[in-house]
Formats: sequence, structure tokens, C-alpha cells
Amino acid sequence: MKSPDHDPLDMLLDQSLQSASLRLDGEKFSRQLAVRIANENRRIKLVRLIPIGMGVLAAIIVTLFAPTKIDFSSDLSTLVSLWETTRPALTGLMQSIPGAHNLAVLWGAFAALAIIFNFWFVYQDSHEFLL
Amino acid sequence: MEPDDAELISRTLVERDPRAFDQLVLRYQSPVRSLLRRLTGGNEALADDLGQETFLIAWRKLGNFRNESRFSTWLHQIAYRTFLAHTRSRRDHEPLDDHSNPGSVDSTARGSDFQHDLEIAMLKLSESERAVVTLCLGSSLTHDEAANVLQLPIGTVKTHLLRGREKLRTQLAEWNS
Repeated sequence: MKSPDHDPLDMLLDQSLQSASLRLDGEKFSRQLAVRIANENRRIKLVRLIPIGMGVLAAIIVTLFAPTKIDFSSDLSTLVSLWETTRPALTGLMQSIPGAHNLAVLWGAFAALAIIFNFWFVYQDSHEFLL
Repeated sequence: MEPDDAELISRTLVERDPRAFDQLVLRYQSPVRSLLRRLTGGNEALADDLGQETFLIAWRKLGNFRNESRFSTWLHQIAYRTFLAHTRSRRDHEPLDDHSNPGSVDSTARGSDFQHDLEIAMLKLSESERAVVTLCLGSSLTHDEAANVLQLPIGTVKTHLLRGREKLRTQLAEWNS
């Protein structure tokens, strides 16, 4: 921006303020930033893996504790009836096996953690800046 | 010929080319860090840390950049908000002194007597005046752009600039001869 008048002190001020903005060496800054971006990318990948891991864990638990062997490839209806099949099985399991209740709580805790993680990142995203 | 900002942004987003973003960093790191150094009262380490945070956010949010303003204005906006977020979090722990570090002067100023006096005079401005003076005079942003960065009415920006300039002139009056 131009100075409103041509006062020597104003001109000196403008020149000094502008020249101070041009002198910082960016090489080291840029290298450090590249490392931080690489770490950030790794963190994002890891966070994306959490829900997948939760899903895999849930599938393993369901498959292990289902009363009949489920052939996932045979029919889509098998998937639809999965919940109906597993619900009584899990209820029965919780009643019959000591410690099964703890397993259910653990499973619930995993799911809750996944939800909290997701909300946290969504919150961070929206909270930081609305740009 | 140097590629323009739009081309570098496009290459970063579409081709995920880190060198394109690196070029943007090298192009704008100096004004952004200068602004943060002034805002933090010459605390170089803190300013550079906030500068890194600024570019990290820019990297994450680059897809949100709408070309409604210059890329440099958008970056300055992120830098200023990063500084405000830092100030808010610091206020939770300790009282904020507006002229927080009057003894500390940007090392870039040490080479020249006038620069040295200028940096000390800058520390005596209020936070808002310092921000407006740095953006309008140091980074050559227009009043509109500075108002956009600082989220202030344009009239307030003009007032801060006028007052800031007057205070600097008073502080540096002996250099007028």
C-alpha cells in the first residue's frame, strides 16, 4: 500500500516494514514442514484404519460366536439375516458363558472409542477454522 | 517462467504433488512468519512454530480455498487465527500482556539501527494496531484484505492503521531529521 503522503519518515517506515518481510530464509522452515506433513499424512492413514479395524474385529467376533457356520459368499440374504441369527446367539452366550458379559462390554467400549475418535476429528476439523 | 498460485494449488490438489506445495511454502513463508513474529512480539521460535501450524492447516484445507481472495490473504487469515487460538489457550494459563516481550526484538532488525528502533516501537503498539500495520504496510495487503484477515470492519482497520502509523512516527520522530 502506498503511503498517504511523501513524508520521508513514512517512506522509511514503509520500506523498512516491507524489507523485513522479504528476508527470512525458507529452506529449513520448508524441510521441517515437509516432515510434519509426512507425519500428518501417516496419522490420517492410521485414523482411517481404526473404523476398518473395528469392523474386522466385529466380524471376527460375530463369526466366532455365531451358532451356525455362515457362508458369506453364498447369498446376500445371509448377510441380511446375520443380525437375526447373531442376536439370540449373543444373548444366549452372555447368559451361559461366564465372562461373556465382559466381552460384550469390551466390544461396546471399542465401538464407543471409534465413535469418539471420529467425532473428535470432525470437531477438530470444524473447530479449527471455517475457511 | 514461475507457475502462478492457481497452477501450484491445482497441482497440489489434483496430482498430490508435494513439490508444488513446497513452492507455495517457499513463496509465502517469509511474509507469514514476519506477521507472526510481529504478533508474538519478536518471539522467533513461537512465531515459526505457529508458521508451521499455519502451513499444515493450509495443506489440510487447501481444497476449501475458493479463489475468492488472493492465496496470500487466505494464508494470512489462517496465520492470524492460529495466533488467536494460541493466545486464547495461553490466556487460560497466564494473563496476557499485550506488550508481552518488549526486550525481545526480531533478529532481522539487528543489522540496522532504524530497523532496531522500529521493532521496539512496534512492540509498543496494541496487538490490533501491530497486526494492521504489519498486514497493510509490511505485507502490502489492501484495507479490504486486512479487514478480511482480521475479521474487522474496514473503518476499524483504517483507524488502527492511522493510529499505529502515528504512534510509530512519534516513537521514531528523531529519525525525521
